[in-house]
Amino acid sequence: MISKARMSLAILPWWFCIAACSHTPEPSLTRPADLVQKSEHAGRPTTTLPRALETKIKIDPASFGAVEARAIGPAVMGGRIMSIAVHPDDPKEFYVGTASGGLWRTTNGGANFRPIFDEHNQSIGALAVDPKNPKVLWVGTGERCPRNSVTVGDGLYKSRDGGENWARVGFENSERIAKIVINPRNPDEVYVGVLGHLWDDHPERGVYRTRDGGKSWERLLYVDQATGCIDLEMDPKNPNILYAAMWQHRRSPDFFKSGGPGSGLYRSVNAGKSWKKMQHGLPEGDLGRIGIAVAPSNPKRVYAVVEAEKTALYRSDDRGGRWLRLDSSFNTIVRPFYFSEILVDPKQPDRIYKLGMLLTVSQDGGESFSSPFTGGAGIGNVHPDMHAIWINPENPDEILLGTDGGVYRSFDRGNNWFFLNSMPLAQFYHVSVDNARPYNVYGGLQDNGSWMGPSRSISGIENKDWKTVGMGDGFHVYADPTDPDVVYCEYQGGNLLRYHHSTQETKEIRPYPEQGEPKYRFNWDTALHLSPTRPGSLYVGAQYLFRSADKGENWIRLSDDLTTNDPDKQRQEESGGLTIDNSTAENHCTIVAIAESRMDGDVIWVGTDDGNLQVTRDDGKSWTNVVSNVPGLPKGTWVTGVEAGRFHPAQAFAVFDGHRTGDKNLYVYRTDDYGQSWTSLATDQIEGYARVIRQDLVNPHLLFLGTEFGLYITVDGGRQWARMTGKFPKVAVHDIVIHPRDADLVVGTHGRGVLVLDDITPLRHLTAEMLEKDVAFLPARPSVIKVPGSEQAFNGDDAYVGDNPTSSATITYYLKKRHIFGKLHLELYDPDGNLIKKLPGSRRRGINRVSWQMRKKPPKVPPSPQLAAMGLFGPIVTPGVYSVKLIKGDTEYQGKVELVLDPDSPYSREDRLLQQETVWKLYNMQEELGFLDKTATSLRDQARGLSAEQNIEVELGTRLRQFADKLEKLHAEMVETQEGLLTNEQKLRRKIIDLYGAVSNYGGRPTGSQLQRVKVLSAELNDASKQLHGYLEDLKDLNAMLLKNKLDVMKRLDREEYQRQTDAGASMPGGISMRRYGRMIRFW
Amino acid sequence: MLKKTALVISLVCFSLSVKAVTVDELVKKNIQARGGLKNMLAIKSVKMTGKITSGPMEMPMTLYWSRPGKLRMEMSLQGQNIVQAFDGKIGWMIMPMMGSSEPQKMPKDELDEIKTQAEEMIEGPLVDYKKKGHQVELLGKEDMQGTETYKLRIKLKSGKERTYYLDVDSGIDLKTTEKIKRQGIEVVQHSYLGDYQKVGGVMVPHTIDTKGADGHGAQITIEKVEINPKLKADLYTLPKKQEVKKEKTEKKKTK
Repeated sequence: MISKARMSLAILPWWFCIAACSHTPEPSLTRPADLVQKSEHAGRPTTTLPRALETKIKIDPASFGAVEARAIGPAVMGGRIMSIAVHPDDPKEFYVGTASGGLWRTTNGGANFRPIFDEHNQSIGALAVDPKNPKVLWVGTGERCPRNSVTVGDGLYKSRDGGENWARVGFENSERIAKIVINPRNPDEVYVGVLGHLWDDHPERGVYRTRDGGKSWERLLYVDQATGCIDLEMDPKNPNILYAAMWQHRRSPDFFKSGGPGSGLYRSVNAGKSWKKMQHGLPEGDLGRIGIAVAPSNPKRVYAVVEAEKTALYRSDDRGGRWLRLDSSFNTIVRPFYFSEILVDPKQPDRIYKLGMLLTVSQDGGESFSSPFTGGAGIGNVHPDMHAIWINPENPDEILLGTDGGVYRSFDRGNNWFFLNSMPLAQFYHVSVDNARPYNVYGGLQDNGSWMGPSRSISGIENKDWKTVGMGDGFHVYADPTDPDVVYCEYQGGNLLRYHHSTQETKEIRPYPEQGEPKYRFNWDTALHLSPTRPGSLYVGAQYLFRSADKGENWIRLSDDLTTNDPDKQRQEESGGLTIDNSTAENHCTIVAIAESRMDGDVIWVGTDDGNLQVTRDDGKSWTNVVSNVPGLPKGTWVTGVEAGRFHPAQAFAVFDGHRTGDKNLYVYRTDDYGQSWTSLATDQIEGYARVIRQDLVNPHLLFLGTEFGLYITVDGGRQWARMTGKFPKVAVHDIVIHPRDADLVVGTHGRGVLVLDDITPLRHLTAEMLEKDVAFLPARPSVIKVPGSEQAFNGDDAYVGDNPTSSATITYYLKKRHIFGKLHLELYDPDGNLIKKLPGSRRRGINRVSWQMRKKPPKVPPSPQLAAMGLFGPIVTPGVYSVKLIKGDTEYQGKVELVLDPDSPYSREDRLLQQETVWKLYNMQEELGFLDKTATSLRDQARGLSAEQNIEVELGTRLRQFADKLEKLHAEMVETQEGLLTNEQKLRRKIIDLYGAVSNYGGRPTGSQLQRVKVLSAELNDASKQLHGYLEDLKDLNAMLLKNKLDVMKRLDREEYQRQTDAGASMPGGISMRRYGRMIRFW
Repeated sequence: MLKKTALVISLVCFSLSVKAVTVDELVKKNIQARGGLKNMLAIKSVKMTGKITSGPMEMPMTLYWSRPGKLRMEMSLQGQNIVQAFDGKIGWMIMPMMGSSEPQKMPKDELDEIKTQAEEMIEGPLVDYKKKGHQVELLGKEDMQGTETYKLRIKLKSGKERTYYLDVDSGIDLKTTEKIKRQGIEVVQHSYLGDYQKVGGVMVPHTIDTKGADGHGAQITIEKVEINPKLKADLYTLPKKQEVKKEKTEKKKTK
């Protein structure tokens, strides 16, 4: 086996050598030492680029096996919420539908939430729970608030079992579903308001109905290919009366238009058979988005917020016959395309809640509004921008509110709010990392600012671990690699900022036009890029490319206008339709992607939102637009990402995205010649339009692609792709970064925060050759030995805690097929070749990961009714290369796992060695005590048993009993004997174990007192031993007497046999749950 | 329209291919894969030794089982024995780490679990499922961690529901998902079965990975299975209070 391993090294593909010599900031941990060594013989990269070996093995999500994402949040700021639905009889069970972070369920009033829709589209436009059978759920995908960053849905789904299994029941191509209304009297009759496509004409829109629970649908109301249904209400007393709001609207990359002749407010009085457009009292001319609410306590009362030239709230007191124009205050008319939800109090027809930038409430039937927040004005402590609301019909004081920043709950009609911030819904636009230990993740969020947070924290990554570094909508955020005080970030429209940790001040550093220069055009999501070859230099893109070498104090312009500069696409000031909405969201003809080659800093790639892909090879002196060389790409398609090749300056990857014009195709390309020619890497294994592509830092054929529907990985340069499904929802991936030191893949999702794939080393080695083996060990990064820290915190179940990376060593191997029959386990040998641990194996197809705690066996301590928790853990092992044997049936496979010291450990070698020595001394003392005690109790029991024999001589009986009593007394001096949990009884056993724990818990030098205490306890142990051996003098005599009496002699415990007897540790709570795990044992 | 037709056809094909196998055929295949009913019924008692591992914790474990449906499980923690047992009627346990070596009655949730475990130990619920009053439904084929399985839903007579994933090739159980009650609240538990080895003509999974909905769980490793060993008659019976001390010392004697 070993010789085979050497052979495979010799035939390693040559690109490993290139990979090894190319410079990463800290190459230490990323690749096996043998590969690094080999690099010394490798020269500069040649102009020929490597090709990946082909494999016949099918690569699918299962090939990645146990490689799973680790969610680290943040949940501190929530994310955009679209819908809330509550169990009809049990309000502590409710569902939260999010704009792009999936569907969540709580069964405990929000103490915690679980995602229940992760394998499906993550954008939830509408939700409904069957009022008669609450296990039946309806989910309409595709959010209904069509802002610039909105995603697309893929139909209507139904579950019959509370969200465990889902079936799609229609509207696959509708993109957006705004409303689901179930007839409470006949729940198989369901009405669906389909909003439809945002960027193009499409006929799948309007009001639909099923009468057979979703098997078949009929379209009841349709206007045209540009007009969809944005709201739908049913009369609470008469299910034949329906109100529908139809909305004509359209987005393009550079423009938004709300309103048109298609819009209107409709009513049907015959269950949708016919509809009448309501006009009496409503504004004339084109209408825009309309929100409807019927008063549950008085169905004659209907409210509508109507976007028009003069947007206002309208009220009808005759079921929509005539309308009265009422309030038109700020929050009623603000951004109608984004906010038009209204809701009437379940019991008071005059009390209305208007969701907008704020929450405002009318108590006089819509005549006037004010804020319910304590103080009567302002926004209170709730994130602005409200989209979803639920009011408890039985207790209208209780409200759930969904905002752009998560879910809030009030028990006093909205005066004061709880924040249910345990759902990680952060909508990242971009992520980056620094080189701290543990490294930090940085990124900007839709409507939720710019943040940084650690990749590991003491008890998991909690909300408190995240730090805000910028406001507004956040996008790119970078730590300055040359100045630990500085973070660069931005808010919408190119507002560039430099944040200082030391003062918490923010300096505005955007470039301004020189005299005579045209106005700079910055995208909503302005491109910002850190130079890989000029440490600390920063690029920013307007229509021109700029670079600053002095932290943004001064900028040099590196280009002319790199966009098409098409005046027809620069209409942001007129954008919005009926309501002008110039938020910079439609800024166009701008640079949106920048990539400097780390192989050659003069090579810079720039992509623009209007479809130019430019490259310079002379640091900006001349530029070539290479987009026309890209085959099969429609003209003007938005460049979502450029990745300069990591191994050769001529290589680059580019992804394009046309969804903003209705083109949802996938465009992924590679060039090997500075853009002269391009090869498509798209396959039909990939779903969704492309957002970002990254090339691995070590293996040039390992590529990561983020699309609107997840993360995709190829190990062969793009021939085969497979989606990452291990704890990775089908969420939009907007950015990816590979940590150069730790080999983690850090993924910025738009809806589920940051997901980390810890240690992608095994993926780097998942070559064609490996894939074809039945069993193969895969390299993993060395595991760091660290004494665990601790913290006291009882935060409740509503506190979000992101997972930490494993603190165990990871043994990684590949299985071509699942192992079902015969044994499979692992054996671990220390560097001296001693077997130290047997571990159960993992058996799935693809990559398997087995954790090893890096500890020796816990000491064998004397049994006592008192659990000694400190004695449940074995000593931590020492660094080195441990060999691993995988035993599968009759075949053994050889691998290894490398353990290294914590590089941050502040302790000297001498101190560490003294600590280990002391731990082992105490370990051995525990084992010695265990043996002494067992010897004593075993003889005690034998003596007691024999003394009870019939016909025993009186003298012998008495001597045996005395012997047993002496041993019992000694046992009680060594070991705690009281039952009960808090006796605090401390005998020698407890004293040694506690000291063992205390010394083990600190990686450095033990204290002088501790070292002294070891001596004292050692002397006590010696005394106990002497005492026992004194008693054993009697044994000879007693055994002689027993022989005379023809009785069995008493046997002394043999040390070896004692050590062989199995025993191990488990903590008390573990003991409780583990006893339940035992219930799974059976023959099938 | 063309697309729609294609979809309909593929749906029909899919359901046909699933329908091609019946529940009864699958159950038969599964029983065969596990060694056949005759061999299963020949097992009158069992002793299994192994360990339960969860993170850094490891507990040696011994399980005794006898027909009809009696079970005793012992786990050792710092030399102290945790005992759980069911004699066919009464479920009891000794939890020395909870501060008492007195036997206690089991809480109802756990009693239900141990009773089911004792009853189903060898044959499992699929054998004679109709007679036993269970309902079995074939949900179709499903990729389970990259391996093709048949997904069966079984509704036990008790009302509890489980999902079984049977290996398409061999028919053997690879995964079970069930809902168990903790403090009256339902929680999902997944068990992955593997390392099947033939003992007494019957295939016994020697590794069982259990995972809760939160991803936490334990790994059970069986090291030795003894078929029809001689077992003490009172192994499963709730000891009388006075007998507890005696039993403890006796046990120590035998060690």
